[in-house]
Amino acid sequence: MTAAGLSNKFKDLDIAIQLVESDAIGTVGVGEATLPHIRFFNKTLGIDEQDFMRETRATFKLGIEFCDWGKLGDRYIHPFGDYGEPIDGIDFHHFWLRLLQNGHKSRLDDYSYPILAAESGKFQLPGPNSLEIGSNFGYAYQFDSGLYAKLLRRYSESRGVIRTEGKAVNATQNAETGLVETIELEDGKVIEADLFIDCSGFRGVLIEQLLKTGYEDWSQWLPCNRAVAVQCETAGPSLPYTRATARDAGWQWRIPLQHRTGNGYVYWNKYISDDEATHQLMSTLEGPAITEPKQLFFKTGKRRKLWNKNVVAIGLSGGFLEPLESTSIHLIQEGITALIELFPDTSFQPTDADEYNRRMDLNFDRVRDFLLLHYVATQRDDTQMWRYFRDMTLPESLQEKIEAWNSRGYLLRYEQGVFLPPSWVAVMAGQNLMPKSYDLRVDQMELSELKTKTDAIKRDSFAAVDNTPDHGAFLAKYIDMHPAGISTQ
Amino acid sequence: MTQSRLRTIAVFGNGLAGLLCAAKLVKVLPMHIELTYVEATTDSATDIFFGTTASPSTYDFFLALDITEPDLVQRTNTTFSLGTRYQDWGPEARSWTQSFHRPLPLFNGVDFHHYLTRMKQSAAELSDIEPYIMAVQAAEKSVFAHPPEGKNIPLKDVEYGYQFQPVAWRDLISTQLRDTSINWIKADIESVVRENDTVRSVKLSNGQNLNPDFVIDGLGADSKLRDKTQKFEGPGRTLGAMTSFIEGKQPGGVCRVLTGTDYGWQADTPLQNGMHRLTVSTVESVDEALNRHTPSPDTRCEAELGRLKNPWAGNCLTIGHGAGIFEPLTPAPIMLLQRDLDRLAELIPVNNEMTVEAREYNRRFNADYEHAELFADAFFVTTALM
Repeated sequence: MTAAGLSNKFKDLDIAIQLVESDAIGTVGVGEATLPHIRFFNKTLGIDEQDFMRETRATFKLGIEFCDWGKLGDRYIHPFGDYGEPIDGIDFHHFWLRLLQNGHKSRLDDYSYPILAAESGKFQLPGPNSLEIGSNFGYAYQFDSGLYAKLLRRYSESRGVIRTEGKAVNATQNAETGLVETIELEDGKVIEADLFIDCSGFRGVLIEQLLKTGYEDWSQWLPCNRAVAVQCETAGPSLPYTRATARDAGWQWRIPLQHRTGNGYVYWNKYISDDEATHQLMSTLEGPAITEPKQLFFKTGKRRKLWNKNVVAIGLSGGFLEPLESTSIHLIQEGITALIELFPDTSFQPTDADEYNRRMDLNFDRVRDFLLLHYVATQRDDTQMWRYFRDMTLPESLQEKIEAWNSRGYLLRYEQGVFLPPSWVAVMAGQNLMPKSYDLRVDQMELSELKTKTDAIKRDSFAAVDNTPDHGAFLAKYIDMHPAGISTQ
Repeated sequence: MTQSRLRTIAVFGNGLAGLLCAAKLVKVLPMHIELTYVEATTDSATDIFFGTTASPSTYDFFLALDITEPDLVQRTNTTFSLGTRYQDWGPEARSWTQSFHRPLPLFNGVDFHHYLTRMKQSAAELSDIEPYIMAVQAAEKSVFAHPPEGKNIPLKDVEYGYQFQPVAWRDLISTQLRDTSINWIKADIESVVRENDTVRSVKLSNGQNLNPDFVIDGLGADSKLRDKTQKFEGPGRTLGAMTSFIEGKQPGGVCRVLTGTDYGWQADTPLQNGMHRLTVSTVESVDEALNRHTPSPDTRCEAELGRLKNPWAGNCLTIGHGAGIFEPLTPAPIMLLQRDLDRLAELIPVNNEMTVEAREYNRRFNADYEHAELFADAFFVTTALM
């Protein structure tokens, strides 16, 4: 992604980009589900959506379904879009809370077009009027990340990126400045560069092994440290959403693509063995497995500096947060965007790196808080892992956010951070964290008038879904493929 | 503490901040909350520190108070503002026009100013930003039209604010507010009973005792409601300000002219019925400023720049100049007040336990002020960076 992003932005400049990759090193294989921002990344690169979806065997994604998180038997969808619509400039959920506290019980989900569409297995592209119900949502993709990598490699090479097959085994630094000057590959080839972007995965070949930048360990908040992943055949219709099901010692993902379904179990090995985790995953697949289960090891956290000297860590070399909310690819995109905006000259002004690190730190911190919210906004205490979260001291930033919500349904807003207020509402309300009150301004409206207005929004949302085609049929038509083509048969 | 539903709010004011706050609350409070406005017997002298220009956000702010633009320009001497002409600024006596406008275009995702910087390296004369900004061109020619809607009309990128006299806006809001159901008391504060950071009761000069659940202090730095344990933190600068009004028959231009001087600066703001002159100086140079300010000022005051770190403490929120005083070089002072009041509307306490509301209000207050302070600082440091 980085090579593609840079080659697009710097195509007319005198900047030579080299991509050092080794086919011998596999990709992690998680991160097949994405956030809506990826559409803008692809669009910036000029990648046609239909070509992209055909090539990466992608499906559309309207959100993530969370099962058994608030308590066993619960489910909710975190949608890419607002609930209802603001009334007099006040967020819709405050009006819903007032109704609820006055005995008018209804699902918040019923005011969300993307949730209703996802639940019905339907999809259509948003229309041009983003204020209209049925158009006021975002969408992302569920795709084969290996195929996406191939597409981007081709894209990069067509824009002048020189790809070198090999694995870095050594590097040299300037004795005075400490800047990295060269890397040496296994075959002895030496590559010089002014700027090095370390996308070498967990190892962090340059950012950590060479520069010893250090890692901020977030295991006390996000203790899951292993995953096992497997692909299986798809059973049933093509679904426009990812599923994350809470388990005894972690959670399990299900990501439906055109041609298969990606599955995985993220877990804390303190409370479940690798074998048991694999067994639980394999026994809950919805179709026959088509790959062998693959084991992954990680430590949640981030590099102390994502930009250190003339090395910028992007991807897993910069940090890892479990893929509960599909943020892995998004954080890569954020890194690329920030690097392009702050692209240095050879003097490597510290202000560029400082600003880059400030921004990325905020991005990581806020994703961490959002992920942790899923584990702590729960009534679950049925296993040791869930009990661990009940006694946890939260990061102050998250504690304040939860207190503001609990007290009055208020959502703290920040300049930086991928998850906007509707996402926080989705998880907090979805996991039964209900505020004691709401924005008092909503009391100005007569309850009967409010009921009429909100009923109309609900009616319009259901009507819009009625007029939405089935996801599988839409997808097949959209990518110009017969419906049989998206079957695994 | 036992939580009880909030039932009474009292706003104490002596000028624009208190009145705007009361007007805002009248529009947003639910029926069960009783609102009282306690107007001091002496008007605030520091209102001139709200400056003379307001940003484009003012249109929506006033509309939410049921004050339309025609109301504003017909019932006060307000004029349209496209920006400020700064002249003879700093040691290098720089001059430029800073206008309201939508962001300049991005080319290939890159901010426009980067291209100007690049052009400067090859042809310095091409790097001037003003020819690219429609509002600057209009301001310099003293012409104005409402920005039209439509994608391909260059004028659409123009934004506008207002040029105003704080006293005129104060009178407008006061008149508007008297037509509402608000309890209006004209009195000064005799004494305040506090319990830690909670205001328990306020005795007024008319003998009344008020026991509001929530107190809003718009009385400025000398307010008896002020928690003396709170420090007013700032750059340690005290400024003097003076104003006068020069009557004229023709509506003025659409651009304030602000001139840098040895003692500070002087701003001439064209209003409908004349020119409003504001001179701001360091406190040491007040005498010189006074000599150079013609005609004789009708209002004068001095104020220390700075702000409270926690304007909302306990059940008392400080707004206006008691919370922060900002040099009125830009529209920042009135923008900050508007943002304070919008924030308050979002955070009207539900009950007498208001820790969450106070913390969030203070966080956003400080973020806004820090942002505005950075921008204001740029007026004084850019020369050193060149």
